[in-house]
Amino acid sequence: MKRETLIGLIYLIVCLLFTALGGYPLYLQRQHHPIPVEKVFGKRHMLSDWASWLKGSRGDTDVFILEGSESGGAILILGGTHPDEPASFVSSLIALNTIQVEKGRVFIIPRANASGFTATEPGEGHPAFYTIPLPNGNQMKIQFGSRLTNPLDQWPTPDVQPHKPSGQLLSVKDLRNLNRCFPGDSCGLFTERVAAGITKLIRDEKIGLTIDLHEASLEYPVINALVAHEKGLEIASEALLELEMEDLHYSFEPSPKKLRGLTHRELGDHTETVPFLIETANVAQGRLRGRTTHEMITKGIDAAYFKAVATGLLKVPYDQNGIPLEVRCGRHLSAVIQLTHAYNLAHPSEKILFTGLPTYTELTQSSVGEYLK
Amino acid sequence: MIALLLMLAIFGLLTFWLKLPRGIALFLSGVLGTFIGGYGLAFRDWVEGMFVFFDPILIVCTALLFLKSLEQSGTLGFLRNLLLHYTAKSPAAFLLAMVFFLMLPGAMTGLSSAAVLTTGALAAPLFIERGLTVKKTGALIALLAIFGMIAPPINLPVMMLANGVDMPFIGFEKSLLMLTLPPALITAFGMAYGPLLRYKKTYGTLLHTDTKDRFTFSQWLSLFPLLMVSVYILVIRLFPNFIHDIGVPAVFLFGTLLSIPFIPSSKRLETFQLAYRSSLPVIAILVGIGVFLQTLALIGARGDLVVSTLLLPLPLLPIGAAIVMPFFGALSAFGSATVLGVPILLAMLGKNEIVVGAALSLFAGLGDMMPPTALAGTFAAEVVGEKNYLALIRPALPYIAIGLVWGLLVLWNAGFVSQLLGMVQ
Ligand SMILES: [Zn+2]
Repeated sequence: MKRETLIGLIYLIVCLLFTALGGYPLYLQRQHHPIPVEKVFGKRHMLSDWASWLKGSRGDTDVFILEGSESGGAILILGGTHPDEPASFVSSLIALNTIQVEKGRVFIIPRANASGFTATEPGEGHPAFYTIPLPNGNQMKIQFGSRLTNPLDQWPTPDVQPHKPSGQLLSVKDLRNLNRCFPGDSCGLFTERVAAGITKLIRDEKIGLTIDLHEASLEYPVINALVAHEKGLEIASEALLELEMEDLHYSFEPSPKKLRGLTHRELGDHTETVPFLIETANVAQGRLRGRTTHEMITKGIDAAYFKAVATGLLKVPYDQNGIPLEVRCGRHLSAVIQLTHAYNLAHPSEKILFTGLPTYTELTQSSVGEYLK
Repeated sequence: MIALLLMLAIFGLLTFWLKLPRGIALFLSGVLGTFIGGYGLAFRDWVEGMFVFFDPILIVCTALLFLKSLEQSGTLGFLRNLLLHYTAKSPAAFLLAMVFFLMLPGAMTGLSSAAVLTTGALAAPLFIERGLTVKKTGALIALLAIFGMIAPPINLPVMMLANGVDMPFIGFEKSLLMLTLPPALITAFGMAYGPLLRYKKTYGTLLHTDTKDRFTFSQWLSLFPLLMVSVYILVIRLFPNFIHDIGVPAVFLFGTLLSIPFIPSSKRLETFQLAYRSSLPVIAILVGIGVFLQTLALIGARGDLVVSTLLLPLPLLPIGAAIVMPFFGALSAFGSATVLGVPILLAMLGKNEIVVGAALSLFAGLGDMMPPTALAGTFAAEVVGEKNYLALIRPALPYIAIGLVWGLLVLWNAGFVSQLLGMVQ
């Protein structure tokens, strides 16, 4: 064998080794795992039941419907619009486990961007999953996805493309970001098709109240915030007042008219629903963070962010106790409860009544795991 | 921070002592970094890191393919003769044309080396024959190649910077032009205007005996692929609502297809081989720096670096950037932009980040002239036949300084500049 052939062969073997050993965990990440809930919900609904164009596609996702004995209004809770925001997905899991509906219907989509859950974000060094301890001693394993749609599901994406229908220009990253693609396009890019599916469900089911759960990094200006479409200003101020009574403070942000493609703008403009978006503070998302561990994701503790307090750039108070999932999910769920109350006051003929959802106080005095069993 | 310094030390050792290619050295220091950080075998992260710059890699491959096609089809040679022919009466006009010619490949590919090796090689004899010293010629083509690499439409360092702070790579064109054109013109005129003027006075024209003054129709026709690609890239940016963006790599592939008929059939295979050979080291650097960055994020060194940068007094940051970023060019301009540029840009967010990012990319780009690696300098020395590339650095130094000072001026006045360019924030 010639020397060059031998060297070439060695390189080839090394490459194959890397491909196999590095590719296998990424292959596992790409699988859709079942939503980890033990409760039985009867018939399994998928988003493609409303949006036929998603049937069999990797954008199709579970939709849970919880119905009360009395008829009433309908609410949609969106989790996992951004899979790298754990409190969003976990809050929707808690809601699934605990909500008892008395009147009206509660729709829950825990993984709005299912494709994003199957991807990782190159360069971020995120773990593939994180674990939440359960009261029985077991650990619940949850996929830590990417903020953006998996490029294997949407590639190539144009560098620039106008948002539909406003014409505002979106860049390549925005076009893989579900919360920039609303109201969506059933014939458009993958992410636009998913958005169109959610919009269709909202129209078909006459969803009156939509709450999109999010998190943001500590240096991001819109944080611990409630964003409302102008249709929902009254509901928002009523809910914020009630939340203040619980000693929970949210900065109030009216949905900007210029920023297109977001749930709180487009769903309000293009459907009958009143949309809200809630942000909590997530350390694992920021660029100032140190190594991303399971503890950082669930407890929100990070030395680098603690050091960064001195920069004065952080938009929320932060100390060594961190910002655990209990606080973040608690804020989300208390806000869901109060927004629903306020919605009921404004729409007495379309009331949605439910019990069982833990409040901020209940969650922070207990643990997230308690509500996930 | 210790982990980062160790990784840099490993990189230095591998490149200067073992003489490994920089791409491989970056990759290996990334791999060893996961051990330093206590992660051990992190195959998933190593492989994932290789894909951080997947899109720029596609642009590099296709842009170099297109550039080599233009070179082999004689388009670039023709373009040079054409520019000389029509500007022969005025040294100033000739220099303007040469600034365009020497910056074009860098602007198209985002790579200074691509410009040095193509139009740089074609233009070098023109300058040497007209009285410019070999050293100055080398310095001139190297510097213009760097300014070209920073000039729009393709600027890889600024794409990486934007990516690092979650900002779309849109609307950088004007600030990049503003940053690169003045120093490029000063460099060209400062170095070459005197000798060219003397040549013109002696011979009455810049035309040399060996330059043809008759051009064939098929030569004119060979400009068509270049024209199509330029028009398409321009039109996508100007009318995004009407023209579908098929992506820069696809545009370059399309241009390559168009130029194939102009390449002599015996040279076609060679063209592809040349393009492959010249893109491989750049791809290796992009893959290696991706792994390096992934490791920094994985072991938490990135957060450390970012926070430490943010804690520096803000007024000092621009000066620090202008001094340190070029020296980091040893890691490659891309490494400098991502490892140092991103935290600095983060610290200056909210202050016209498009202009700031563009200025930082100029600092990083000038790193291609910094010893000991001096990517642009080494290739330029090869092209002009100068044995020691350090001989090119000396005449280039004042102009590097001008570039850095200009970048600083733009950075300090970012607010004013963005108003001037009509970029509403
Ligand atoms: Zn979000």
